Amino acid sequence: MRVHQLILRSASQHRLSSGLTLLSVALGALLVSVILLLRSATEATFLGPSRGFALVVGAPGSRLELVLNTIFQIGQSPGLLPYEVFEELEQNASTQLAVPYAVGDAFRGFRVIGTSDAFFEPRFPYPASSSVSGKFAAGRPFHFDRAALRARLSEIAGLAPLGLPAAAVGAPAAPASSAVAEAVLGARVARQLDIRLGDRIEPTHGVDGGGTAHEHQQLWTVVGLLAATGTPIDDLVLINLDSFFLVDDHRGGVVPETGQPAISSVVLFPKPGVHKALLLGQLNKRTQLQVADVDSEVRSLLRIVGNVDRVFFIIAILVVWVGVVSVAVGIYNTLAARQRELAILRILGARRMTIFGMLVGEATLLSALGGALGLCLGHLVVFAASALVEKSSGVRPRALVFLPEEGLAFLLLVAAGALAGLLPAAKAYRSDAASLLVPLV
Amino acid sequence: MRVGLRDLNHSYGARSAQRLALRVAALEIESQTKLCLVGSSGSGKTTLLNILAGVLVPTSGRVQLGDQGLFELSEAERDRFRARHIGCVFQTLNLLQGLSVLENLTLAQRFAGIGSAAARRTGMDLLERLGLGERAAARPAELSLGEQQRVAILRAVCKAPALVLADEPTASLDDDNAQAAIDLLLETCRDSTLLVASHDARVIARFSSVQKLSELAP
Repeated sequence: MRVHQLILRSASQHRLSSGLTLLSVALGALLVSVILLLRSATEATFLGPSRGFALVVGAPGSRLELVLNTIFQIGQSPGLLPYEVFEELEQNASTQLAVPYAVGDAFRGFRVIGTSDAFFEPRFPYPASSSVSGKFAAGRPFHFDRAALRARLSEIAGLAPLGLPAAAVGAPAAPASSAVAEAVLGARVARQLDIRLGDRIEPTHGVDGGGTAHEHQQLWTVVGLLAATGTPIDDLVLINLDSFFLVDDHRGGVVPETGQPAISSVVLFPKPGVHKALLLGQLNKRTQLQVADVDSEVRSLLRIVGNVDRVFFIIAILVVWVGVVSVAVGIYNTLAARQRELAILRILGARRMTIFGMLVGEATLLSALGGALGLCLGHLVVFAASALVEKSSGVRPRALVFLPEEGLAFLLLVAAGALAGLLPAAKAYRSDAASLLVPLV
Repeated sequence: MRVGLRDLNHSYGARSAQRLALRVAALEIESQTKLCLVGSSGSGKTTLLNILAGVLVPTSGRVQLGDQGLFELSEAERDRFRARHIGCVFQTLNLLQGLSVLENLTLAQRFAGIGSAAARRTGMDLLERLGLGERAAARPAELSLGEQQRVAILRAVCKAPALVLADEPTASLDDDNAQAAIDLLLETCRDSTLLVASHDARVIARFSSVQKLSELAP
């Protein structure tokens, strides 16, 4: 029988008191775990997917809203951006790649984005690949017909064909009706809806689920399935912009005031070096649009979230503190009942330091068990609530991953528990065995 | 183990309000003696046993156990000395309730430096000799008072100590259990010095050497 066995026996002998103490520590650890997991998920949700993106251009409004809507598919677009702005940005000397986003439809809960083949360029960060084919798990990019798009846009605007000469896009303007309706699906859309290449899909109006059917039935053929990215891109249905504008009753089709064809935003990748600053400088002067620096907006969002999270973290630390104090109080309160037992141990030959070590060990054990239980329960709570959290905030917590910060929190908790055990241990250390073994009759 | 006491005094309380609890001018107890210390309540029997166990430091005087001056040792050394050479029996409630009967026996031996396997073997042997082998895994509370006290005696003697101290070992026991407890003490302490403090006539009658504590005062 060693000291650690005595500690275990002692804790089990006072199981009600030990259990309550353990639960109190576990509650604190649970809160810490949940907060750390949510913070990690928030950072992963917003920092990870935003990596590689530089600028987003959209209608005037909230920059953060623009970034959230375009990069993370959260919330509503701040407004409409004339299509010609996209072509202008595409031709800008500082632009390496410009990708149009036209939002307005959904397919069985997943957002539909009208875009160009630029979405599949290697420079576009997700799915990460140095080749276009490498971005696909199966299939190919949709057929993007700029000539058909320009013809359709001209029809919408009731004007002569827009912008560039036909030669610049490599094909003569084609009748709008000839546009091919093709779709490429994000990995999760394909997996969740069990859609395969060659299947035909029918998006509906509205970005938030059910929506309403288009006036005339319009089907898109699935020609490609993107590789999984772990970002909101997995949740997208991409259709060629020329086919997007084929739908007569599209809400995002025209700027109401001018009747000009419009899209939701443009994701802009500047050339390396000073070009990002140049583009920001140019675009910030324009009052009819706004430009958002993705990195800066995401960090400002995390700062806001971080402030809230800090408040919760302080509350969690307080709860942990109460738990740790309860370890000390719990053991202290049992001391009176255990004094005879400790005196017997001394009579049997246990040194004062052995008794001291036993009580510190018991406090450490209760803290460690409570901490471990709390962390496990925290993961269980996050696991149970992850779907709800994701639905309400777009943040996807990962309940099955243990974070290094949790390990650190656990070690601190155990150390604090050991420190809390010093008080009752010191009292027991000073106790006089002889005075505790006086005859009872 | 030979026991020698000289000019031993002990008082309880602060200096200003000290209460004299024990005065012994001199006492020599030869090795393997079985001695019953008698005296009324408050005469200092328990105080003397606590001093002999090394858990109570006397106000003054000298305690010699074998060749060792007990209070020449540091507290930690006294703890080690007690663990190895002294067995203690108190009244009821002196078993550790969180441990099994066998664990109570092995723990005392482990503190004395005996290996785990040997301690268990000795513990089981003693329990079986006493007819308590089947209760080895039981908690003390599951035993009768008489059985508990017999296990407490086994715990004191299982490490073969040179000195066994027993303070009112038959208190709260009925006649049969009191006789069984004192029989066991005398039987298992054949090779040890045994000091029993008691005012129980059933105990006193079993000892040929009886010492009144009051007669030891100068």
